[in-house]
Amino acid sequence: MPTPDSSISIANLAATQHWPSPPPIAPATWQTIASASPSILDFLHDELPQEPKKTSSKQKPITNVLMKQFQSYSPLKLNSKTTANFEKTHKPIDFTFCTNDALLGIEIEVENIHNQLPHPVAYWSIKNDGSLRNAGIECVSQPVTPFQVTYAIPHIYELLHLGNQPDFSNRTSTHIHLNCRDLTQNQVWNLVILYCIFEKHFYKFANTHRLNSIFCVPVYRSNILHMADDVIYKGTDSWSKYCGLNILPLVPNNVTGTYGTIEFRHLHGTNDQLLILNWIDTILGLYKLAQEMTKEELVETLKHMNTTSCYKSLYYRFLNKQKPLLESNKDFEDCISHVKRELFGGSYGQTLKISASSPYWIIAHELSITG
Amino acid sequence: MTTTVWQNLTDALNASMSVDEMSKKYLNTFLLLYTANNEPLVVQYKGFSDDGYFLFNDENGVRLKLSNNTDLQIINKFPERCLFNHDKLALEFIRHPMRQYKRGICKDNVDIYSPVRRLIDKRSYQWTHKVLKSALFPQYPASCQEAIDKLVNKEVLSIALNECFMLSQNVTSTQKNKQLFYLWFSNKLIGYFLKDTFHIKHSLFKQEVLDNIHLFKPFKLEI
Repeated sequence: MPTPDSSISIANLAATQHWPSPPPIAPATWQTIASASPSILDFLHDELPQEPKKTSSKQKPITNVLMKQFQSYSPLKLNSKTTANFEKTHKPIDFTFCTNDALLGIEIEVENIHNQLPHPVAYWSIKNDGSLRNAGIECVSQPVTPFQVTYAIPHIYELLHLGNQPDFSNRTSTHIHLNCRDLTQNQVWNLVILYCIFEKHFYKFANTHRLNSIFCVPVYRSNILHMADDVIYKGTDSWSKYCGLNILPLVPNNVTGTYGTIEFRHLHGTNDQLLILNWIDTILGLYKLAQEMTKEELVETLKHMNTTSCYKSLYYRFLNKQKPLLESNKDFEDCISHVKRELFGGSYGQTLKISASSPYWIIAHELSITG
Repeated sequence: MTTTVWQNLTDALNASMSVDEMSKKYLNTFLLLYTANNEPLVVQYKGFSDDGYFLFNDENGVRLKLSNNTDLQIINKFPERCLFNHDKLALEFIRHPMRQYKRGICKDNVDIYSPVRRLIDKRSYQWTHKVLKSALFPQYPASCQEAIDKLVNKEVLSIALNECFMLSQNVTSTQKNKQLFYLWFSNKLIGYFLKDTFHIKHSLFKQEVLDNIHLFKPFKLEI
């Protein structure tokens, strides 16, 4: 059956910048077809949309190179001598991470620092932060390994308490940057998708009132996830810094530096050093799992997760020794459905010929609403 | 030391600072006000009056004046992403993570749109106070039969069955069957309803349908 002239494919519509409001209607056409003979209706019925053809999960992305081969990043300043000396002469906090094979950047915001902090011996630099009040500062670490975190955290907290009573008010946050320069693009994609699957765990850890903040918006409450491919595989800056998971530093952009990192923005300011270490361990669990799975394996897992209840086994793989925070199936299912919808949800709609002369728009006109 | 509701909303260090902060963070944005009877009202913050009151408008434009030390509870709460019904069609509420300074719900930090229209353009629905109220307190049909009846009678363009599923009038031209309606999972087409049966055509969302099977009764499901 020939496509009616008034039919416009989704691809064509996407290219259309402006859409008439309400769209053009053809009541005569509609009435003609609605009252058509059964044979015509039967024929039209045969044209009912069918299930989309299954696409191969082994479809290759544009490239799958290391992020540092895909983007140009400034060299990392590791200050190896200074940190090695510090580690020889100081005791670490007793904590074992699920992996030591990573680099992290830590930003700790704190207020009520009226007396100048002694200059940190290693790891840290101190900056002013315009978003804070009441003598607020931001302590920013150099790139550190998980092993070094066990030295760096007690060091900065010791300095913060020397002559000050640090206040971790509602305005303060603890941001963690995870180095992704040495991950492949697929591994970064895995990391973003795994995060989205377990996003509610991160918000539960960080205290759910962050769900309402405007500076770490949950991905599952927005429509942004489908843009992750463009950031990771095309290098576009089509993401928002103000998501709980900020992937903008992976690529050149006008908002953040191009650090080659993914930033986790959820955690509030805290005086609890162990909480920060556990938070970092949670992030490292995600990092580790993202490297253990292939993209194809993750896609297949994602597509079948609801029906096989395998999300719990994946959850425990991600958690390692961290305490599980998600209890109800709904906690998982909401996020899994969100990821599926954003990544694969459009395939059935693409098989349909969305039309400006469809009953929907005709009835919109009759009801005098824009639709 | 007790803090006022305004300090809690703004993280202001003291009462006088909270007046400025309310203006910066909430002017013309929407908040939830719980009345003395604990009934929630969606209100829009309109500024601080010369005589020392925080001013709000309710959905009918009625001006409310609250003092600095009011006992009423006022909260800033973004609802979950959801489909909801308003004025003969289903709309979706989502967060919009863009850089801006307003903490309360406003057009910069949320997007309310018709999933059907979003298929063809990126225009958002020009939402109002009343539309937001429908999003914050969504109402759904009592049964699928009620939803289908409304579609058959052309009373609605689309109708949300719950926060995740909606039905719409036929959006295609190649199937001009009067009784054909499309089934959506949030903003994605996943199947259609014809005669007395839901046909689920997107295999990845069959489980979501099965998890909500009560929504589709008394009709048949072909999965």
